[in-house]
Amino acid sequence: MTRTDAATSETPDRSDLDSTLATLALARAQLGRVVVGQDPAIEQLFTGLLSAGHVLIEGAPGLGKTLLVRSLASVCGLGFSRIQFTPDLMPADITGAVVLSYDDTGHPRPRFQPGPIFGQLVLADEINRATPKTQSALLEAMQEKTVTVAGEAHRLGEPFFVLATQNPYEMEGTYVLPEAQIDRFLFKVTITYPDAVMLDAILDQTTTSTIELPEPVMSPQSILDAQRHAREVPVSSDVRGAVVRLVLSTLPDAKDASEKVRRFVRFGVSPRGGQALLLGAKARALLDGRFNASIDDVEAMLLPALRHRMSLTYEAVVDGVDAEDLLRELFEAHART
Amino acid sequence: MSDHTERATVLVLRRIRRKLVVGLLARAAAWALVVFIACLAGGTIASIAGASAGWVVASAGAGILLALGVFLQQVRTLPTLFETARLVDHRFALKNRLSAALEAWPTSSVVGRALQRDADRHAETVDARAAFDWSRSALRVGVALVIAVSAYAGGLITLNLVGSRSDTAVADASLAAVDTSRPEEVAELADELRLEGTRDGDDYLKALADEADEVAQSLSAEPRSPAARERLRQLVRNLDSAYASGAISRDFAATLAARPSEVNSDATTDSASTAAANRAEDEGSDTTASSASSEADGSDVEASRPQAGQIGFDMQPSASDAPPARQAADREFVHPEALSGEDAREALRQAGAAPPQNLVGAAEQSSAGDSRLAGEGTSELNGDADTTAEALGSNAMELSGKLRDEGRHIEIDVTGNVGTGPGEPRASVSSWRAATEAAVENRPLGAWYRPIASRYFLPDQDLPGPSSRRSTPMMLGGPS
Repeated sequence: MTRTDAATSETPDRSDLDSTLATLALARAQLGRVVVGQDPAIEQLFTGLLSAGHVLIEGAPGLGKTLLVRSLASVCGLGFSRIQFTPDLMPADITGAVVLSYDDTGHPRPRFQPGPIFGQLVLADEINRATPKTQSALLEAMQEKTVTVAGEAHRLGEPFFVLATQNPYEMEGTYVLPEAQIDRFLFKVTITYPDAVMLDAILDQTTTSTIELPEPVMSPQSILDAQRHAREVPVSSDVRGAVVRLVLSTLPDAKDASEKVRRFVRFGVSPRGGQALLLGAKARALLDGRFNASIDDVEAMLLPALRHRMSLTYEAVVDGVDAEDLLRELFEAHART
Repeated sequence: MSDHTERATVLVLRRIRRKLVVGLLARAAAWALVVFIACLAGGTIASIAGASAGWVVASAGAGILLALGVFLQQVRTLPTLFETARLVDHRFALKNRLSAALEAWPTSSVVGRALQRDADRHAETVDARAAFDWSRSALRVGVALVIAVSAYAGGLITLNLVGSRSDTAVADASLAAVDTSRPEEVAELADELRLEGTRDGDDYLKALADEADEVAQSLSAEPRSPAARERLRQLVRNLDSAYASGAISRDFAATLAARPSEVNSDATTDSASTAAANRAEDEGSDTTASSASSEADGSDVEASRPQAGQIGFDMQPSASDAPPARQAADREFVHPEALSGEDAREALRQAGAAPPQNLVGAAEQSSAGDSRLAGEGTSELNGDADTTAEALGSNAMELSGKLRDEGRHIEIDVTGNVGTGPGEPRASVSSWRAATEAAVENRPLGAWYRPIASRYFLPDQDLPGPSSRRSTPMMLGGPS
């Protein structure tokens, strides 16, 4: 193949990639215009979207979690559905149920009525308020992307993206997600309080008669393309080795585990955590317009990917040891070489 | 995907790697040279300090091995192309672009090809010359080389100076003085040596002093004796080498050379003829021509000092037991610390084997101890016919005899000086002189301590009145 031929054959692919990158940049800008002062959260949400993973959003009430998710769905042009989790919510309320309906001839026939889970972007608001039984129904759908009702499996549409929120303060009457279930979330994004400048911008923007709404700039297909491109991003063995060292360093039972990890870590990061970290690094690189994941990308996705996967001991809680600080220490010691 | 993209990235990396390898090898060679010179300098310094010449050879060999090790280690760790890419990524903050592109080649994915183009574009902006500047490293290596070479050259110069000093100076000055030295001068040298040896507790100097005494005696008996002159020459050599190696702190040989001597100045011709006679004697030629001057020199000799044999004991056979020339030529004094363990044991065995002949006893003014002899001192043991000393093993002797009932048990360390030479006993224990005994003082308590001490140690003789003796009476069982 001559160079000219190769260049000609590359053009459609390259233009496809370039348009994906341009669309992503535009979508970020659109979302950032609506949700002020949450750029890190926006970046992590898009990273989760490109990684085809689900995101758990944690933050105090009133910080714009629901607005963020709703705006994201709008920007991405995804079918949005919202489930408000309450203690009396049943699994069928999420997955749907078989109901009797009458056909054209007037005969009753069983028919599957899809639940809100059959959306493209599902907001599971205050997920920790539902019972574990209901939670597990959602989590099964998240993992398998299928829903089985009355012995019949129903495939969820693509892209399928669950954004669950939980309030870290009001723990009374809640059902804390078990580690096995929380591990299903690719990232855990924390929404922080905006600073004074951002708060001023929020107040100025949201207290007028004209509230700016985001315009859809992406389509489900463009999101799927972006997800495919994100998985193609090359990673050098150097960066992959850093992720491996980091994940292994969190295991308290490892032979060369540090004294701090032995004392304060109940169980470390699973291989799924390593996958999440590397996939997040790839997606972030693509989101940033680069074609390879660097160690900086790994560092940027360290906390969203691993903060909810490392369980600390009671001694760590008593001593005030924070999982995020510990992860940063381990990254500097084992990955940043 | 075109080859151009691949070639551009890889070519840049190869160029940088070539530069890196050359620089690293040059640096390794320089460090290897530094290591070699350092080892060689160590061996040279060791040989200056008195070690055998084998040290230089051994250190050179070790230096070659170490240098080879340093070089091979560097060769073994030369960077690969991928490591070069990592290095460039890190140096130019390329976010792992080049290393990822290198590993991802060949690729069929859109993103992979985009990465190749991206890496190629970034690689072409890399200025390898500016990135890997070896000037600082070369400067460091250069400084290390200069220091190593300077140190080695300095060592060699020092060695030459010492060598020239010990050879030339002794030959020209001290040895020339040997040929003209009078017995009195040699005896004075012996006294100085003994004084210094006693003050420093250096048995080696004392042994040299004994040797000088013997030489002085020989010269007194026969001023032109070639054997005596040769013994003196050997003594001067020993003094000089001891001074050069730092074993003694004073240059006695130079002192002998610089000693003003009327005879030396008055009899220049005599000294020349004496030297000539000595050389002739050494060569076995006739010395009749110089006998007259020899007698003239001998007339000046007066034994104005105690005879060396009167004090101390010498466990060597007398000089008459061995051929004089051979004894003088072969006798070389060795500091006891320089002996190996077996030699030292042999020396001590011989030292303890023969009974002492004379002994210098305790100081006359001894006043230590609460005995009847306190303050009276002891009679001088030297020359006391009733006092004998008995060797107890190799390093202890007991005094007995008619010395009162208490007697005294004195242990004497007889690690004397040892003379080695073929065909003669290897031990020569020098004379022993008692050092001045430590004075026992009755120093009064300081003013600050008197009131405190006086409360607990009665009677208090320092304070004037009884009221100040014990201000607080001791209360047993608490206050009543």
